[in-house]
Amino acid sequence: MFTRRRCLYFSLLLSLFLNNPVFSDNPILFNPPLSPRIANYTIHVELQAETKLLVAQERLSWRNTSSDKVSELQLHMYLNGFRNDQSVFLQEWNTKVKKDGYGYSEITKCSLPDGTDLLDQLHYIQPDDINDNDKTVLQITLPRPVRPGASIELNIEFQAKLPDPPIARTGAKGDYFFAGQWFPKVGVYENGGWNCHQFHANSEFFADFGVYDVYITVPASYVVGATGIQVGITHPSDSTTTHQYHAEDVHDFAWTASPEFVEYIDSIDDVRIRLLQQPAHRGQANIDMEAAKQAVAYMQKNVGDYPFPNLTVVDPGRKAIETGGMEYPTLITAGTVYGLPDGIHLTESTIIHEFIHNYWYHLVASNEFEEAWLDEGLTTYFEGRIVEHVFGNSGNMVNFLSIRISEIEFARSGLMQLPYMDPTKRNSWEFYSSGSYGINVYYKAALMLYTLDGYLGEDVMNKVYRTYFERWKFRHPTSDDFIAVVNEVSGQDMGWFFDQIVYSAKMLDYSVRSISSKEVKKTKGYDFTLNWQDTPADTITSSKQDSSMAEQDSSIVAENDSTTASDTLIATVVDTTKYHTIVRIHRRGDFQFPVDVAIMFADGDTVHEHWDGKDRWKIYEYTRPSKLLAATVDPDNKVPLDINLSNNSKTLKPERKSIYRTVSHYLFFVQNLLESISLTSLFSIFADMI
Amino acid sequence: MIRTSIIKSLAKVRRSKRLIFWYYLWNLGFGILIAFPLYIFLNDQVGKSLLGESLAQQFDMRVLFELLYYKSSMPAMLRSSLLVFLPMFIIIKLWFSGGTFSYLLNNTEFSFRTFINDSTRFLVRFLRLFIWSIPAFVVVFSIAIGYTLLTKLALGDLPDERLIFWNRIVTIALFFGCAMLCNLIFDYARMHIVANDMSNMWIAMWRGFTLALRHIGKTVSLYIVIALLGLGVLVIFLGLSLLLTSSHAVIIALMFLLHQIYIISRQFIYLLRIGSQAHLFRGLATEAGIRQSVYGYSTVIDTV
Repeated sequence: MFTRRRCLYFSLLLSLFLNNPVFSDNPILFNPPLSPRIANYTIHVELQAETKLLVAQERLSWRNTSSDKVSELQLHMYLNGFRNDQSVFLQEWNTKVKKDGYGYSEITKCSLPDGTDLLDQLHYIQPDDINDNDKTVLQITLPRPVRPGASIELNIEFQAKLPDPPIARTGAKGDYFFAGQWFPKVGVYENGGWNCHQFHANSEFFADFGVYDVYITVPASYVVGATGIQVGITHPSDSTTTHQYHAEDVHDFAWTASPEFVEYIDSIDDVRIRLLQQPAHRGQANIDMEAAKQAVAYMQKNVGDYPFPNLTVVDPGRKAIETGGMEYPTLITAGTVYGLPDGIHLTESTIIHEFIHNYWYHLVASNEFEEAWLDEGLTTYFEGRIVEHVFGNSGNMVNFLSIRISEIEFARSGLMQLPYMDPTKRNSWEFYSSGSYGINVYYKAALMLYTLDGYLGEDVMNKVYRTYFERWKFRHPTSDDFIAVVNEVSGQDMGWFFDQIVYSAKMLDYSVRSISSKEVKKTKGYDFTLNWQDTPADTITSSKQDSSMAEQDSSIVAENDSTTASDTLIATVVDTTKYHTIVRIHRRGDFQFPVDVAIMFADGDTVHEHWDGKDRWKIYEYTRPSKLLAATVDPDNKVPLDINLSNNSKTLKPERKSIYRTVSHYLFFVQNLLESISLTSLFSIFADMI
Repeated sequence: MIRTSIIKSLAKVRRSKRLIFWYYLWNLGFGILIAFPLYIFLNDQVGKSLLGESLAQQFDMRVLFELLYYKSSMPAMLRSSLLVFLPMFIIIKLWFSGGTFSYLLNNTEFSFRTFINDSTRFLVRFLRLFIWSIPAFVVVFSIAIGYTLLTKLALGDLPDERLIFWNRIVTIALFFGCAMLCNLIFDYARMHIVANDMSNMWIAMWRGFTLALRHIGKTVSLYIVIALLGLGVLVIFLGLSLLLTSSHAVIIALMFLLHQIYIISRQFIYLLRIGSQAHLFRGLATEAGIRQSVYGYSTVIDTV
């Protein structure tokens, strides 16, 4: 596959230079096609930089792969989410847009190839609510239905204005332009109807795969980056350049243009990485490129082949960070700031995250409107794995001024803020809040996968991801499909687990409720037991119990003369100190999950127990020659979904060292504060720091 | 003159072990009062769980997140103790500053009785001087804000990020520079108050201002040299503290010791700064050739 990709890419490059400035015709990247290619687009778009306008002609070809006769089309008009403050998006977004900052998309012509005008057949609809002011879904009633297996072509002319400054992933600022969700885009026809939701503030996207040929005309000085590969370039006038891009088996197309981009090229595993960096961020180019390379290499090795020959990484322009941290097929956006310290890996983790989306969103194209956890959760989980692989276990997200935060800690801190307000699977706009949406689909879903790693084992889960990817790439899987793969690969029915977290909002919290270890009172006098053993007469022996024989007593044994060798009466004087230990484990949440319990004793022994976690509580009791030290639930931190780790363990004796160390540091901080602040003058607060 | 001032002051501060101890004792006492609730809290909440093991190793964000979310009383408890004891300590420090200035301006040996008497004598005046510093601070702060707004206008809507970054650094540096200058003006104003037993704060402030600016090379250089000395001590402290990361009991004890030595060093440097400034103040007065006897002080100065 790699060799094929390399040959393919270099032949395309060659054709680009040889044919320049003529457009190359019908380039073929993948034969046979990798996807069903249901929605195909040819778009000519001209950027009018001064007015932030896009003027475009679009030819949409849609193929009916269902068994229904389809008499209407539904198109996303995402840019109308920014049309005015009455749109669903801006109502939910709750942020004011500057005057003249709104964006829109308006169709000026719509016809069939035979010239039949459909402009009168366009109607905005609101499938998700009753807000008539929302114009993000357009219904086109067709003069005749599209039969199963047949295709329809529409010729559309439209004008779009990019919001300035950018809102939610798309827009313009100064001479930086990022066009995401910028063209009328057909929804997904499935299960006998259109899946074409309005544009919501919490939601991302869903579309069918296809082939895109896009001709982007921009001012001549502009550098352009886009989904797919560049296959042609021409100069329609002295002041403009048209860049031809071709993409196969993708379900979206985004592009960016700016005269300021500084271009860096590198490659890994035959994937050519093009970094379009802002001039102020040149110093971070190597770091960004390395992050992209690490992500590509890791995902190819651990999940599956990235079939495309290239990846473009875009560093957003000044005051356009809203376009950062977003994924599109073969193009991702990151974002950084000048002077960011080395130990803060936010830019790298963003690049890694967005590239992973090319697996979970692009190649495995689940529905981001309805089941966002399937792409965001899996992506956040793999982001954690890759940053751990690159930056180590501790402080892999932030390692600065002695503050170390890892991805998994960050995810847990998110989870703790709004624990279990929603099930993980829910329509994106129906979550309790935008915070709950983010926490559930990103963090809780990622922690769920970490928990599965602990329960089923990393090897099993790695196989799950590979199988899920291979089986569902270029298709639209659902939560049930993912769960089916988990069940199949693990050989277990994990429905009980997913029911509790994906389809309901149960809270997982196990705690050590109490511990005690009390000395057993000595028995006074003699205690007689009948023992069947050969013991020499007239001897008193001392034996110390093996700690593994916890239920038996240490004893001094005195033999009775009158007994036979095989029938010995043992006189036991109990004088060995023993402790009766009780450990109470409590399931505080309603999420039932099996947990390990470790009970540590003073003699160094640790007893490992496994509890199915179904009852509300479990009590462990031991009588042993040594006292209890501590007990802990989930000693190996295999259950990061546990909402509260501070109640997971108890010790009989306080851990003094840690207290002294922490208090000593805090005391030192306070002493410095006292030394720095004085009332001698208000200026002394700032001038007495040293 | 700067070198002489520092050397003379160094000798005097080295002889003032009781004064340093006095400062340290109050600092430690109030530090313990403020930090004690954390000890109680950790003893109760963390000490009896295995989370403590993580804390013994290093500053653990995982533990911090858990504590902040699940032991929500902790931040409020720590804030309360700060809000109660910090203002008390600031007032006490202000009280001591009269005695400290008086002692360092004078050539007499340290005595607690004189120290407390002088501290009490100048408390209200120093408090009034502090109140005068508020409008001065507002003026300087407004200049900083004005400068920020001006540069924002000059740089336009879409300035280069590098310009923004370095302009921010320059703004912060200018602000701290101004704060340093104003601080030393108020230091010299207090010296005027103590030396001349002045009760008009406006005049004291004006004289501090004229002294600091008329001899700006000397006053600022002295301040910077002492600040660099403080920075040097900080660097040494940070270097040593990096060596003490183990959770062994002995290392924890050594770390505590190092912390306390650093605090004492800071107090030493503070007294060194005031002492050097006092010596410079006297020297400038001598240069001016005007002497005035004010309850035992032999030098000092209206025209310096």
